[in-house]
Amino acid sequence: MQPRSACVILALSSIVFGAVSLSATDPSAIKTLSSGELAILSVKGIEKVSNTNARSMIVKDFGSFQAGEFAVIPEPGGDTFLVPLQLRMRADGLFTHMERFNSAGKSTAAWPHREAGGILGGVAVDLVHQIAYCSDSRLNTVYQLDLKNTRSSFVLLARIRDSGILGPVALDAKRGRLLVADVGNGTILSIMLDTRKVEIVLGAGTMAEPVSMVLDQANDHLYIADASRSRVWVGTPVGNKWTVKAMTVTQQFKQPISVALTPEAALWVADRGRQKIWLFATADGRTLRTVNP
Amino acid sequence: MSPRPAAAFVTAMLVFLPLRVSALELQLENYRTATSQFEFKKFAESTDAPISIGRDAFPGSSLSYDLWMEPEDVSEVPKYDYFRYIIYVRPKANPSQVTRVTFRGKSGGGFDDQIVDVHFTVIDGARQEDGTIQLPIFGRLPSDALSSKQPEDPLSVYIDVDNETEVRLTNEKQMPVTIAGASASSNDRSLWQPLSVIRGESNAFTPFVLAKGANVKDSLKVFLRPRKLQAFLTALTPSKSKEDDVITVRVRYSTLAREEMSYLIPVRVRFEPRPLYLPIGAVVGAVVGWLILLAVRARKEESRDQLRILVAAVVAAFLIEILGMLLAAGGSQLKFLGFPIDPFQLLPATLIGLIAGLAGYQSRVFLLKISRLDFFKFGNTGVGNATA
Repeated sequence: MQPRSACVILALSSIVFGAVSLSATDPSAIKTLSSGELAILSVKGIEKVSNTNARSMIVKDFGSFQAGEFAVIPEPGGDTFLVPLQLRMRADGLFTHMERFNSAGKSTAAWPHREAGGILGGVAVDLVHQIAYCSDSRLNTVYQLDLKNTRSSFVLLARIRDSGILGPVALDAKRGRLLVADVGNGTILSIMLDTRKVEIVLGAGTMAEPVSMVLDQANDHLYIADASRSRVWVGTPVGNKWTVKAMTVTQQFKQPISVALTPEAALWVADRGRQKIWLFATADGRTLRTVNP
Repeated sequence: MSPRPAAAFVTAMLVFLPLRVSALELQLENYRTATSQFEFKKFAESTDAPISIGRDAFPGSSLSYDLWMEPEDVSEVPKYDYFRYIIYVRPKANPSQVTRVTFRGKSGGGFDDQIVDVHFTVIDGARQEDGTIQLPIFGRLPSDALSSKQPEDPLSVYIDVDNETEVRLTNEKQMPVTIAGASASSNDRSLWQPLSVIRGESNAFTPFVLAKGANVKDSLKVFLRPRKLQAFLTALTPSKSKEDDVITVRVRYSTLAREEMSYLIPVRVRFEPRPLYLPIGAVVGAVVGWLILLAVRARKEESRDQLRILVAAVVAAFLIEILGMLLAAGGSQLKFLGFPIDPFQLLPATLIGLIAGLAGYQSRVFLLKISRLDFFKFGNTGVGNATA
């Protein structure tokens, strides 16, 4: 039998008999809780992984909704979670909203996204002013949302027409701007919060698919997970712009899809390709911990 | 640098720095469906360490190159509304020279997820070759991958026994569907012992794959154990709707690259037998028993006394059936000659009536004792065989 014919038969048999491998519980995003513990968002909900690796569900699934990103808001009574959710329906298109869950996993507020067909991709929170910033990856818009008012609406901050796919967002409070990654073009944009001026602060060519990013405001480092280039980039500011270099760590990434910073400025990286979540020392790239998703 | 260290250096570069930019370029052509288009755009390409083609890989080929994609290398990125594809290319003449190319695929509209032949072009320096690779493409809105046709009439659930019902699942997709889990819940939890869903003969649920277009009758089995008293009272209460409760079977499933989803199957149920029918069954049994008694022994009695025996048998059967149901609902067991009788089933209820009819004289004495009604006394005065 020719190798190609064998290959075709094997593939067809896999299609017919269903020999497919699926990763239904892949983590979509990771964050660090104020306690320093890890929170994993997946199709199962939001799960907490303690420092002793004990696991407990905080938010038990999202029903018919789908979540891809979330933000943690530290509060005196326990962390709350801000989750963009979208409902996929056969006939009625997409229904998207932002929902807040308390530390017991109960929904405490929901803000509907009234733009038809929108998908909220990235979310970042200004903890001082209780304002959420989020990107719409389908409409290529950026919104702000007043979290103090449960009846507030999404307010358009910027519409970026020549962008590819707007993705993760990070608040650069020190410079009064929002950083938004363009997943489609592999660039980082900056939106000044006062003037709403948009500019590219990291151009195309280096990154391919910046799917997640986190800003270490204290050390002025921007960590960016690049799923296609199999890298985590470390950005440092040069004037208004950023330059990046590949983070040197003791593991080889395959498909890093999410990054999160601990209060001690160590970096969590979730790698879909390796099916691992690692904690790295940002100073020397040592692996401090490994968690299986 | 001498040749050996140089070779070692190159090997190390290939192993540890697999992401250097590749000279080979792969282009995928957008795929047009009947109603829409699925677009491919390249994220990045780089050389990779030599790897083998997996057994379940999606294959493609041109004259000089092999292409493939492993099933786990296509994934949905729902928050950014695209699918990520990692495709490997290698020259047939030099299989160790692997190039890894990452694409994003985005649907322009709604269509069913399907596996299609996608046209590709490999550009390697001056050489350019075309071919096709089998790849899954995905519609913008995932439609339900499963369906389950339910009967128009509610499912009969017997109050006093453990019920098992089969749920048929049909795969509506053009690709396999993995059933990852199933659970059942009821609208009124007070009516049921804990519900469970199993697969096949196993006591626990085991994930399984429904092949493309498969329609499997006993895909799932749902165990329904009613709480007798609550179910009895529910069945006793008149209602406009045909069903007494709705059991929702939640099936968790996943298809290639898609995140896990749930399919809800409402199973309408109606408790059986209806409590009203049981005493009627007992009464019918009592009449039959009385007729037998009449034929065998009570012919000699006066017609008024025969009627007294009938009424006594009917009333006794009714009372024993009602009392038996209440006791059985409370966890007790009704026995006759050491054999358990279930008053919640129509046949045993009829048997209770039959016994009460056959024991018509005893039924009369029994009622006379508990009621002291003159009606159950034989003759005009009641004197005589009141204690027979």
